[in-house]
Amino acid sequence: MQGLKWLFDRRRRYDDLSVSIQEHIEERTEELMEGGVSRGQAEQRARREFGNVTLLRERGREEWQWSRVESILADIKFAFRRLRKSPGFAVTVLLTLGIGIGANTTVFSVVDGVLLKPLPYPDSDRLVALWLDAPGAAGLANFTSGLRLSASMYFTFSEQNRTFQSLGVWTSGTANVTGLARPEEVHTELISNGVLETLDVPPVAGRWLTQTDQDPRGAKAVMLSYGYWQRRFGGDRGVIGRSIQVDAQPREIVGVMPQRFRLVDKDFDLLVPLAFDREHLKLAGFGFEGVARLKPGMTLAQADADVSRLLAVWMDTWTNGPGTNPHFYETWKITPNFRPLKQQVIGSVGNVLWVVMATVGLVMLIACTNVANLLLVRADARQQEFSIRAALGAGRGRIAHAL
Amino acid sequence: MAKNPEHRDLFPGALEVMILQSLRLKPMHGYALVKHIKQVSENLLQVEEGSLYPALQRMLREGWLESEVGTSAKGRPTRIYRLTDAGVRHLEEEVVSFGRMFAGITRVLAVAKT
Repeated sequence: MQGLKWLFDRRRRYDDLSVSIQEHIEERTEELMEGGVSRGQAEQRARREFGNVTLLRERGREEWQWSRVESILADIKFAFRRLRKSPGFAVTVLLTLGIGIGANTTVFSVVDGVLLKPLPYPDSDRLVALWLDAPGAAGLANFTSGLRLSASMYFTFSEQNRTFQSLGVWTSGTANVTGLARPEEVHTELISNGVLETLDVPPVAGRWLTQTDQDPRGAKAVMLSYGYWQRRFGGDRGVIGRSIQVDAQPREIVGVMPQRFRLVDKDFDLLVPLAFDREHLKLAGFGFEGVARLKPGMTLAQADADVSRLLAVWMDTWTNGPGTNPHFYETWKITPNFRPLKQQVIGSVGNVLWVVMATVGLVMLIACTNVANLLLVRADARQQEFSIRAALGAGRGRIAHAL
Repeated sequence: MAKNPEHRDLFPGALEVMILQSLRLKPMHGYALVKHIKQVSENLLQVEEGSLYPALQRMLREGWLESEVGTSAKGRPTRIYRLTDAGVRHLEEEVVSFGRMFAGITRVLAVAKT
C-alpha cells in the first residue's frame, strides 16, 4: 500500500508541476499582451522565455524519481522492443558479440591456467630449475636442456650450498612391475632426496620417500601416483606396506601422491628412490635434472654465485678415476644459469599463447566495430524519429541514451 | 533558455533561500514568485524558470514546502506553494549561515582593498 500511495502521490506531483508551468506561461502571455503585443506573438515570446518546457518537466519529475534508474529502465524496455521488431539484426549482433566474447573467454582461461596461475606447488615462485650452461661440452649440453647434473654434483650442491632450502635431482625411466595380476611396463621417476621436500606437496596416503629410503643397502621403498593407485589398486588405502616387484626387486609401497601431482612436467606411475652409492660416484654421469627451493629472500643471482663457487669444490672433491684430471671440466666452462621453474616449464609456449590472446582480442575488436557499424546504420535510419523527439523537447543526453 | 547578461545566476542555495523567504511572507504560485523576487530586489535578481521549477520540486521533496490547489490572480487554476514548519526552520538556519558568510566575504574584501 505504501508503494501505491507513493506512486499516486508522485502522479499528483507531476500534474501539479504541469499546471504550474501552464499557468506561468499564460500569465506571462497576458502580461505581454497588456504591453500591447498580439496574442500569438505574446504566447510565442512567453514560451521562448520560459525555455524547454518538456525538459523542465522532466527535470522536475526527476526530483521525485529514484535518480536516473527509471529513465534507464525505460530505455532498456525500448531497446528490447526494437530488438523484437528486427530479429535478424538482433541475432546477428548477438552472434557476433557472443562468438567474440566466447573466444576471448576460452583463450583467456587457457592463458590464465598456463601463464598466470603459478605451478601447483606451495610458494612456487621460490622454485628454480637447476640449469647449467656448458658451452665447452659439445654433444652433452644443448640449448634445450643445458648440461644436466651428475650425481656427484647433487651431493656437493645439496650439502654445501647456502642459498637453497632444499635441492633434489631426478631422472625418468621405465620399469617392469610384476607380481600383480599381469606384468606391466610403467613410467618411473627416479628421485633423490630433496625433490619431494622441494616441491612440498604432501602425499594423500602414507608418507614421502625419505633419507633412509635413499640408502642403497637399506630397505627398498616406492611411492605410487594417484592414477596408478586407482588403476591398479582401486584406491585401496591398505596398499601402504604392501610389496610390489619393480624390475624384479621387491619394494614396499610407502605412500601415494595426490591426484594432479606431476614431477614438474612429468607424469609418472611410480616414484623410486635413486639410492646413490656414494662410494662409487664419479664426477661424470650428467644425466639428472635438478630442482631446488630458494631460501626465503634469496635471489637467483645469489644462487648462481653460490653454485659457481661450489663447482670448484665439486672438482676438488670427486674424481673420474686414477690418472684423470678432475679440473678437465674447466674447459667446459660450466656456469649456472638457474631460472624460475615456471619459465622452464612453460618455455616458448608462453609467447605463442600471448600472440593467440592478442589475436583473439583483435577479433573481438573487429566484432565490436561491426556491431557499432550496424548500429550506426540503424541510427541513421532513425533520423526522423530523433527529429521528432528533439522537437518535443528531449535533451541531447536523453536522445543519446535512447540510442 | 535565453540568458540575460544583466543578471547573474544565483549560486546554489541562494535561490532556495529567496524562495523560502518570499513564501514566508505569503503563499504564492510560481509566476508570482518570479515577479515578487524581481520586484523586491528592484530588478537586481532574476529567477530563471529553468531553475525555479526544479528547485520547487526539490524543496517539496525535502518537505520545506507544500503545494495546494488554488487560483491565480486571473482566476485560472494553478498550484500555490506554502512554507511548512520544517521550511521555516530550514530558512532560519540558512539565514544565519548566510549572514556569517556575507560578514566573512565583506571582511576579506575590505582587507584586500587596503
